[in-house]
Amino acid sequence: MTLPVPRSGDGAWHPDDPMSSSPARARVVAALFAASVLALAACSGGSGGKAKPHTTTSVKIKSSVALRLTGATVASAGPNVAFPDDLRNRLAQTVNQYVESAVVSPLRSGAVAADLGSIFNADAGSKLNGPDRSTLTEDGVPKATGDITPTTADCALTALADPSGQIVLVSAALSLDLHAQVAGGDLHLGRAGDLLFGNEGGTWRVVGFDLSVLRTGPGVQAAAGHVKAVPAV
Amino acid sequence: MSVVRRHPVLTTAAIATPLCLLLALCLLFAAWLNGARIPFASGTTWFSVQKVGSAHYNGEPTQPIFFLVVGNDSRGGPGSALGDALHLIGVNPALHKATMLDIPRDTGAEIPGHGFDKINAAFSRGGLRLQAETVAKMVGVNIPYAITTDFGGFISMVDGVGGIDVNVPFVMHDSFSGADFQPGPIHMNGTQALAFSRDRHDFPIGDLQRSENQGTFILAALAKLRAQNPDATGTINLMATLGRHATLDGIGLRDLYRLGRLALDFDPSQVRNVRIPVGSGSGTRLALDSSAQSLFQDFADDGVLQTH
Repeated sequence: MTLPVPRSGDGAWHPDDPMSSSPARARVVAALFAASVLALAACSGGSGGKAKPHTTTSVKIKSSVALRLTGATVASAGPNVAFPDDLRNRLAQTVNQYVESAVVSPLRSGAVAADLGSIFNADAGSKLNGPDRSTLTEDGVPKATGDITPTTADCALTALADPSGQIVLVSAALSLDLHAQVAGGDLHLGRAGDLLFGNEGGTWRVVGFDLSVLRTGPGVQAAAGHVKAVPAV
Repeated sequence: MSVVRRHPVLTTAAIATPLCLLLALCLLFAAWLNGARIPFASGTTWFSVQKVGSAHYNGEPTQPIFFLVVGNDSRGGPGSALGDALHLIGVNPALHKATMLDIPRDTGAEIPGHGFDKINAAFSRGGLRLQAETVAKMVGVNIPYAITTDFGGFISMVDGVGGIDVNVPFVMHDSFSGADFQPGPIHMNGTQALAFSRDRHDFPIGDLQRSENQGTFILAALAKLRAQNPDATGTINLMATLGRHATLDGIGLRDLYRLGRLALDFDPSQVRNVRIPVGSGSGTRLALDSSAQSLFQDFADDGVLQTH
């Protein structure tokens, strides 16, 4: 199928053209217009809309990190219990959300970490406003100028079940190693330890943590840190 | 004389039934050894934990917290047990230090509602709660949590965690307790650990030295559990094991985890093991030494001894 084109010379649509008065022609015109706008925008380089000669090649930076769930087991003080699928998936998603918000996003944007209030409960979350923040998040790291590459991104879940078989706590053991190109060289971020999840009124949130970080590279302000908080009841 | 001939079916049943029972028991035992959970077989109670006071440990690092550890002399039969091994542990999370006060069982103390008596009698009069109240009143602290075990529970617990490495400080040969050790590091099973903790006949100061030895053993156990369970996942596994063998009163498994993390966070080298000062001797109510009150005050303010 070939797209209809205007006849040369007058630059107008002719009534004898079978497409000239149909809705199909209107759609084609709209599509061509949209494609033209997109092409112009891509070539403009974001410089106030003024078209410039296209001299650089845009490169898409790989900046997402997906954790690998290496295990999900239950240590039970009662009957043997299997790790519920929905809980496993929900917690894996939440740990991924933590890594994205607290680690990857600041590295990608150079901005402070996104709000983690929905992931942490009130007691553990209060630590985000104190000295622990510099270890819980990657606030202040230089902005990545190249790919963010994980060499390790593992998470293992271990649940504690009470004598009735109900799961009361889950630890998420995190092992994360990232490399990223930043202005001035290569940045390495290591993060290991546990996020401890408890059921807070039906929602599983971080109720405690024991995390260590190690940062090397240009522009790093806090090279290492270790924070821990036990869950309050 | 008449010979009674059994029916062949009955004869077969008479032989087969015990064999089947024996086989079933062997299979269950093998399964238990392999880690399978068998009703009633793996549920031995090692210890009991009770919330005995209104205070809470809320996880704040600035908050000192006090625990009472009681070894009672119940042998599983009827009768009232005494709180013969008494250790009050003060923990200061901010300073990363702790103190364990070893309290001789014959120490004279005011037992709330029961007058003046040996401190270990509180356990027989009102259980763990009254024992904790009595110790709390004597020392001047709030004790929110207390734990107790008896002889059988102690042996099972030590065996259950694979034994404890203890550095025996002196020669111990005591037929009463069964202690038979040369000085130096020894990997003790449950029975040996109980003998080490009960021996008082080898020492001129009797129960006073025994009380201190019990403190030594508690710190050795802490070192072992800490080495085996360094992180949250390890603590969860340990709490599941302990939870299978614990009676919890007023606290849940989540609290037990929290307290376990607090305990395992401490380097045993940062825990001072101190016997409270009492008059020497045994068999009578020992009076507190004149220096005891200032030691208690030093201990009570933050769980750490600064001037003693």
